[in-house]
Formats: sequence, structure tokens, C-alpha cells
Amino acid sequence: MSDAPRLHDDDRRLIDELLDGRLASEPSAADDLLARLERDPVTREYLLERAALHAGLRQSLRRRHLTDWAVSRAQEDPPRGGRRPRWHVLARFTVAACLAGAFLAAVAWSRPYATVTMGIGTAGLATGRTVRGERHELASGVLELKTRRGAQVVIEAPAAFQFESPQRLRLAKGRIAADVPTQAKGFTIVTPSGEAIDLGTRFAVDVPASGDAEVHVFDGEVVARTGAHASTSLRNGEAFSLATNTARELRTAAFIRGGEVAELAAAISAGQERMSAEAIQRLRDDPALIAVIDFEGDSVGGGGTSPAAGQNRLVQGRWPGSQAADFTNIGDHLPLDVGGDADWPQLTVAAWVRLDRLGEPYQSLYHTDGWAMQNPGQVHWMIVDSGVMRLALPGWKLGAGAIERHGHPESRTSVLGAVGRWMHLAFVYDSSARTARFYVDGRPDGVTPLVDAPLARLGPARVGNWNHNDRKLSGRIDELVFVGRALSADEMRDLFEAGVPYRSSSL
Amino acid sequence: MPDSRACRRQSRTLELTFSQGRRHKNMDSQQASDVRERLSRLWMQAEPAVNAYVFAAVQRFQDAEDVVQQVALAAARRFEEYDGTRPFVAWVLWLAKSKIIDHYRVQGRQKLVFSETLLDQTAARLVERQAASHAGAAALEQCIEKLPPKSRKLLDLRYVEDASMEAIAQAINSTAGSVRVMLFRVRDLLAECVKAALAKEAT
Repeated sequence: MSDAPRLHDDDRRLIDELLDGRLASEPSAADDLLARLERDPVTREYLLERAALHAGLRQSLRRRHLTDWAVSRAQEDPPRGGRRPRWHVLARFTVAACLAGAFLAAVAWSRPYATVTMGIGTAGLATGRTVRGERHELASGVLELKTRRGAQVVIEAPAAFQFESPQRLRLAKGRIAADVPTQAKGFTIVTPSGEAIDLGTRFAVDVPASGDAEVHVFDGEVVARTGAHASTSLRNGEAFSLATNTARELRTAAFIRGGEVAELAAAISAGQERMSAEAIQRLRDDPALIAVIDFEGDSVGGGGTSPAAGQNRLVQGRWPGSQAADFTNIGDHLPLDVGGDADWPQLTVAAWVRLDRLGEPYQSLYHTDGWAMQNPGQVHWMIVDSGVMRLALPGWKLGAGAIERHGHPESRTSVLGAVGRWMHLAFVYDSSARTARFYVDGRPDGVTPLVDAPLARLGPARVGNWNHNDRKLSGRIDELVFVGRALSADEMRDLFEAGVPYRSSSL
Repeated sequence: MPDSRACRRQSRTLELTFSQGRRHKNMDSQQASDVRERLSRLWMQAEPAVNAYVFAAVQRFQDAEDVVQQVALAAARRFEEYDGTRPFVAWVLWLAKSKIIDHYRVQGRQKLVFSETLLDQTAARLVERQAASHAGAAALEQCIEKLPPKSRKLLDLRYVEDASMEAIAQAINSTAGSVRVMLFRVRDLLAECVKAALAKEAT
């Protein structure tokens, strides 16, 4: 260090205050010092000397602390032959000798960028594992991480990611939701088509395998950067395509967020996944089964065919590594042909649904192509803008006690409360009893009496977009089940309880 | 410096980043390994200057460390842009300047911000006085060893725990004002000790 002329002690103290970060709250003293630093080379020289000492101390003392920690760990579990003291000396020596070049290593290797706070079905990335700058491929599961600065990040498979620093996460593909506290402001997600820079918020990024990354802001503000000079400020409720630089519709439930992860993990450890598989197997063995569409090994009875690919994206279902169909854009759909030409005196249809948002005016769950007034019994099942389920069969007439005003049976319960989570929706139609019942998460919702009740008919149909106009679906569908009999309330409850992917995490 | 395994490991991040850089794909493996070695050597020489520069302009430890890391990654990614006829330290300090400005932008106005002029002035000075680096760091190690336990505790609270003056005061049963004075004195003591050790080495 050079022999700079000595400054007055008061000025030197002020420099220490600057380095200790205490001048930010004293703007006038800070401005004076900054002006003086520009003006006076002697003050600048002193600042640089003191900053070198400051940085050196941080680096050295942290290294020592980590070495002490490592040594104490090694002593808890001593190696053979009682060679501990030599290891200790060697560690000290190495640290001292390498110090000059150690800073990067200290940051990159000694201090993890993030820690896995919950790994569900994520092979190799179990809870408690630390993550640094290495690349990770997530073939299945859900991963919740906490960064060094305290940002909570949930990544859903299939995904590929790599931290560049505790504040920069590169996402090659996958879905990620981030909850960023003030101290992690500036947390950035880098995608192949641009960056999302957080300004203190909750937001999410979706990078499909095909590209076209999207940023969704739930709360606060995010800057979407698509080039050196192209930035867009996004506020809560906005979504943006980084690939096309255009606004998109917000899809809150496309992303698994913090609170949901613990419940998913609790369900997995409680054995829900196995119970769900067993329940579905029982249904497959049911003589009245028409079809189970679970995107793994569909069971489709006589007169039907497995769904064609259609236009949708296969994403992760309720369980790690399972699949579900995801509908995002207008026109996204799944063509389906089950039930053939048969007439169904009784019909139960159920599905696990994860709604991204309520489309207007209809979220289309299942629409037969042949629906027309002259074609009685054709099934249409949807969620309307008030958030209730509706069943529409041409040729029926509501009974005297019906309270619906639109001429079709509707659920009493709005499903709006469950937007952003998996929910189990079902209807049971019984033409001989002349009733239509709805179930939400296994609970009976109400009965609509009918006067005229035609036999139900299925056949060629679509899940998702049906007429390219007002019927679309924004969300995921998993385990769509058609049964040619009326399941009882107990059976509906059991089906829900076996398949629900959540358990209270406090249990 | 001893050629220990630990030392070699420390340049791994740089090498890792470098080998991922697609622009270098036309090199054969021998060439790539030569370039990697050169980058590691240059970075180690320049690092004390980068640290001093960033820790002066960015006050919180974690922020400063993140910025230094961004500089290291940028240096590795853009190494082929470096003009070997000019000092490496000047180039990395130029990269550091833009990373510091990026940091200011993200942090908003509540932090203390160096002007571009001041960033240029300090960088220019650091380029001039490149020499005092590794010897200084080794001397600092020896000087820390000589400190009495009370001073070590004070420094640990500040530099390891990143505690505020008030929190340190509470931990050692003192006042924030006294802590500031004590820290100031311990730093002076260390600066004098380092200077003396370097002078001794020079003779």
C-alpha cells in the first residue's frame, strides 16, 4: 500500500462510514464526500486503500470462519489414525496461501446460491441440498428453493436451470414462480428469449420447450428485458411474452407457488399417489367404465378411441412425473371420442382440474361435437363466468323445484375459490331418477330436478376449445373419467379423497 | 504460491464458465486449455483491484460480492474480446464499472451512488498501482493472527456476521459510537501492520 499523505482523522472516519454503508441515510454528508472524492486525489487514494483492506478483511475472516466450521465438523467425525492436528494446520496453511485468489472460490464454492427447502419427486435434488452454479435437469417433480438472499423459488418439471449467482437464475425450460422479499430485489430470471428482473414482487416465468417464454406478475413490478434497449415494465396482473414482445393473459395457476408445495409434499409422504392409482384401478375394473383419460395409459371402452394429440401441451400432472393436458391459447383443445353411439341412462363424468383463470364467458370442460336442439342428450359441461359448473343437455326441462335461471342445471358452489389449485369436479346425471347432481372436491353440491330427461349421449367431442369463439379452457386437466352409471355420494367422496394431491402440511 | 489442489480448484468457476462459452468452440482442446490457464492467471492478478473497486462503490457485502462475481463471469464469457496489448486489469475494471452501474439501477435511488466520473477516476488509479496485491493479502493474514481476541471478535461480528454497529454494540455490551471508534482503530492498526510487513519484505 502506498504512502499517501495522511488525511485528517475526521475525514478518514467518514470514509469508514461510507464503506460500512452508513452514509446512505445521510445524503448531505454523502454528497459532500462524493464531491470531495471527485475533486481530491488524496482522498480517493485513501478510499481505495481502505476499500482494499475492507474487502480483504471480509474475505479473510469469512474464509477463516468457514475453515473453522469445516475443521470442527471433521473433528466431530475424526479420520483414522488421529491425524486431526495435521489436517487442521494444512487447512489453515492452504487458506492463507490461497487467499489472494480465493475470493471467487469463496463466493462460488463455499457459499451456496440456494438451498432446496422442499424436493418432491426430484431425484438428486432432495430437501436440504445446496445448489451452486451447476446445471440441473429436472425430469419430474417440484422443487422449492430458497436463495441466499431469501427469495423463494418453485420450479416445476420438466425443467433445466442453472444459477449464475444468488440473484440470477437461468431457466432453459420449465415453469418457475418466485416470491422475492425486499432484500433480494433485483432477482433475475434469464430465459432464452429475455430476462425478467424483479423489483420486489411475486412473479412467474414459463419457458416451454418450444421457446416463447412468458412472464406473469402476480404482485408488484417486474421489468421484462428482451434486448439491450428493449425493456417493458410489468405490474400486477400483467403477463408478457418475451419472445414476441406482446401482452399475454395472466395465468396464475399455471405455476405452483410456495404455499402449495408443502401440501403436495405432505400428500406424497402420506401415500396419496399410491391411493390415487388404486382408486383409478378400481374404476378401470368397473364394468360400467366408459373411459379413463389420464394421459399415461388411457382406458377407453368399446366404441371409443384414445384421444388424438390435438392442440395442447402435456405438462406435469398431480404427481411427480405424471402427465396432464395443459390448455393455454384460444384454440387449444383435446379431441376425444368415447362412449360411441350408445344411450346412457346414467352418466358420471369427473376430472381433476387446475384452472388458470376464468375464461369469458365459458371455461369448456367437455363439449360433444353433435350438440344441437334436434339432437337430444348430447353433453356439454363447462364453468360459466359466475364461477359455477353448468351441464347442458338438449331436450331436457328443469323441474318445478329448480332454482336455475338459465334453463340448465348449475352447481350452487362457485369453483372460483379453488383457482390456482387442483380441484375435483364432477357431475352425475340420472335420466331415470330425473336428476343432475354436481360434486366439488368430493362434496355433493346440490340436486337439480328435471321434468324431461333424455338419455345422455357422448361420441366425438373436445376438451378445451370447442367452437373457436367463446368456449376455451385455460388450465390443466388430469384423470378425466366417464362411467356409465350414477356414482353414489360415498363413491364420489372416496374418489376425491384417494386422488387429492394435498395434505395439510402441519399433520 | 504453493501449487496445492485447493488453489487449483479455486479457478474452477472461471474455467467452467469459460468452457461453456460457445464462442470458443472453434479451438482445439489444447488451445482452449491454454486460454483457460491464461484467464485464471490474469484474473488472480487483477482480483484485488476489482475487490477494492467494487467494495468502495457498493457498500453491502452481499451486493459487492455478487457484483464481483458478475464481473468474473463476464470476464470469462467475453474473454475473447480482451485486447492482449492492453492491461487486463483495465479491461476487467471497465466490465466492473458497467456491473456496478447495473447494480445501482436495480437498487434504485436509496443507495449511495458513485458518479461515472468517480468510477473512472478510481479505476484509472487502480490500473496505475497494480502491484500491491497478493503480498498485501498474505501480510494481512499475518497481521490478523497478531490481533488480541477482543479485536478479532469485533472484526468477526462486522465481517463474518455482517452485524450492524448497534448489533455489535449489544453483543459486546458497548455503544454504537464506541464500536465505530474501535473498528476505526483496529483497521488503522491492521493497515499499519500490513504496511510494515511489506516494507520489511521489500528490504
